[in-house]
Amino acid sequence: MYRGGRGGRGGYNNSYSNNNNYSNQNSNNTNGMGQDAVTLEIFNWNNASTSDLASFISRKTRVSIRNIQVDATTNVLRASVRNDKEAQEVQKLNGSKFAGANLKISIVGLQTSSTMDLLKSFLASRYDSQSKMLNLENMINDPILVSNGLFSTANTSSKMFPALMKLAEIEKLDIESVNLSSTNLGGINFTMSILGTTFPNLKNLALTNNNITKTRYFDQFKGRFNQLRQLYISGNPVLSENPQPHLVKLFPRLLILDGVVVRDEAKVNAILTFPIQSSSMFFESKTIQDTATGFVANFLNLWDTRRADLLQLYTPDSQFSYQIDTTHIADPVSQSSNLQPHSWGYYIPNSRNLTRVSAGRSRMARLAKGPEAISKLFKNLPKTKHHLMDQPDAFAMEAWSFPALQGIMVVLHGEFEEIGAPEQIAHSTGGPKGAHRRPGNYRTEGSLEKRSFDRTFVIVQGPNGSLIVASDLLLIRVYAGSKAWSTQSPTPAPSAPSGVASPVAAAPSNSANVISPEVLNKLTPIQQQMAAAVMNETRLSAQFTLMLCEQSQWNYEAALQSFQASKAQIPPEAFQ
Amino acid sequence: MNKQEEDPSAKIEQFLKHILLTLDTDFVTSSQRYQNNPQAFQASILPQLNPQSAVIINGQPFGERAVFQSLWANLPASQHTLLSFDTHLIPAIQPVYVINAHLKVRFDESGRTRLGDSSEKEGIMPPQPATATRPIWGPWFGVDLNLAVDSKVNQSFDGELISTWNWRTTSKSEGSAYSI
Repeated sequence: MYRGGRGGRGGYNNSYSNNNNYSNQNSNNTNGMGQDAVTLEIFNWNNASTSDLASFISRKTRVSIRNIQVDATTNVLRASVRNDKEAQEVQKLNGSKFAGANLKISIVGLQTSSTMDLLKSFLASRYDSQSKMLNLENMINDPILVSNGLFSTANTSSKMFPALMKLAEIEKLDIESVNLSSTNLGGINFTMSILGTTFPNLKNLALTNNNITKTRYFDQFKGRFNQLRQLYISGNPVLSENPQPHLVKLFPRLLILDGVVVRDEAKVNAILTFPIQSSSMFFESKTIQDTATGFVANFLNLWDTRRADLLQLYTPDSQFSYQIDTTHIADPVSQSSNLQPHSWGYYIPNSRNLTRVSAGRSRMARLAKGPEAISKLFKNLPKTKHHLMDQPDAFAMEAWSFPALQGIMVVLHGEFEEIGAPEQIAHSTGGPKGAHRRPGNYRTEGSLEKRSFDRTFVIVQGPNGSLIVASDLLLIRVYAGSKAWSTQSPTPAPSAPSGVASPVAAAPSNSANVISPEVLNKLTPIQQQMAAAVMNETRLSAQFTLMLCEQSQWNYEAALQSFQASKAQIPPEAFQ
Repeated sequence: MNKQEEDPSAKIEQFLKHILLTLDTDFVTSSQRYQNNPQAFQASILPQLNPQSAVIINGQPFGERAVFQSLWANLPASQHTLLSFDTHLIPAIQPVYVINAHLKVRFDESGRTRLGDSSEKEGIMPPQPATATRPIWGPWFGVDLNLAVDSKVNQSFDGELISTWNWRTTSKSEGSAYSI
């Protein structure tokens, strides 16, 4: 008896206070917000007041009508009841005498498909695909939403916005701008951070006239809108706190605040972009490239198929050791590999992560020197598959000369799949002799997973043109994929000419400060870096920077000295 | 293996932490240490690099230490943390350590470089309290660092000991405002 004890008060206000009851009754509502509603149209009631009518209906049918609205010209009254059954109850009063007239009651719409459909059509009516704008201005007074009770209690109001965002996400709306002006954000406890989760790349946001009173209100957006360019907060009491400096810090790419330009766009791009565009491969020379790529391809192939055959590359002086780092740094790359707890059991006994292994004796015990010891460690590592040939983009590599041994250093970054348990399961090494490993101390069994690695080789020339691995350092870490060096950037790159990797290109887009791509392409990467550094140091224009570099035969120190010496004679137009 | 053999790697962790600190210094907050001279600050960035070292960052080579220092001085403030490393001492006429280290690094996303250059328009904002210059740290990036370091490192950390510096970002977060 959910209306028990309230009979005397009657009317639609009563039913609102029974929020708990009706949200339990309606299982197919949205997030517990709002409820299925049926709209009625009532005619010939207007010899009395709306509250008289509500009391009459309540008395006769024990049903409360709510959201009462009257059309001023036709005097038709629209009201809603909770469900179909209630609507039919009320309709039984059709033709009843009320205040001297016969009531006419009709059921307008059975809105059993509920709030979700209502929100869907609302969302569609407020979204403009051309301008990619979602205009929710003053939505708290939207007649349809209001008449359906979506803002009738603080509870429904606070759930309304997250539900709307969820829908926008499901509908995959392409949204760059959101207008939330005059929505009483400061007064209703909306969880606004959901806006950032739904639209991390939002560029424009209007929050004017929202009764926002505290600067700290905006802290919920921290780290959420890294692409936000324009923000409007005028008409909020918070302005008396001078929140602007704080807001500029919160939104790293904010350019315009309440119509005022607060940041220099070119500078934002220059400062927030690492000035070196990642390149997945670097080889100091063609010879080194040929040696390194040939070596790596053969090495990984044998590592995966006939690991023991690799031992001929190692001499009694060769060193091998591996380390594991189980730290999660960035976002999980794939659910399968990162949501499960990782097992490193196979690796733990001999991992030579020297931040963890501090005793000199343990350190030495985990370092394999010579083919015999190296062979043992190789057998302790799981069987693997590296997709170097079919997925070359998953790998990055650098190779350059290593004069100390007249050899080359080759560093390979990438990933592998573990496809089988190690040939031999390792036992703890380096502990006191005769010590027994406590069961449960760590798990030697490991699961087979995909992992990332970085491997550093020092390779020297052996007799008869063969190669010798003097040093082999293997680092195995949590799978992180290849997006750190792949060319597709998740965030839109600043206006750098395509295919040109250089800090010069990322410099402010004032033409005097940018070396044209044609010229840039003729420079070696080292010359590009130097030109960028000289330009930074001298503030000379691109053209004069290049002249200075050429005159100094691309010697950085000489260029700066020559600049200092002739600074007084340089015409002002030579500067940026 | 000779059990009496001494562990040659004892000082490397301390050395790595020492040099990573030079990458994270901020001229704005410690300018007095450099007599307010940006050049002195610049020269304090990784002074252990041999002037002609092979410096490679994300697969791009740098010809000289000074070029690297100039570029690094113009980055936003950073924080490096050493997570893991391993090293081999390579016997040679002058023995050299080869180091493979895993780090994490994050950058200040407030729109300022460590030299104090800012993207903010001057004179627009109301005066800011001193706390406003605190960095707003972005998410962490993973970095693999390969070094070749002269064994003289066991005597002192201050010489030009590093002949090879290969810094490669190996993992990153989508939520970063700083783009690498």
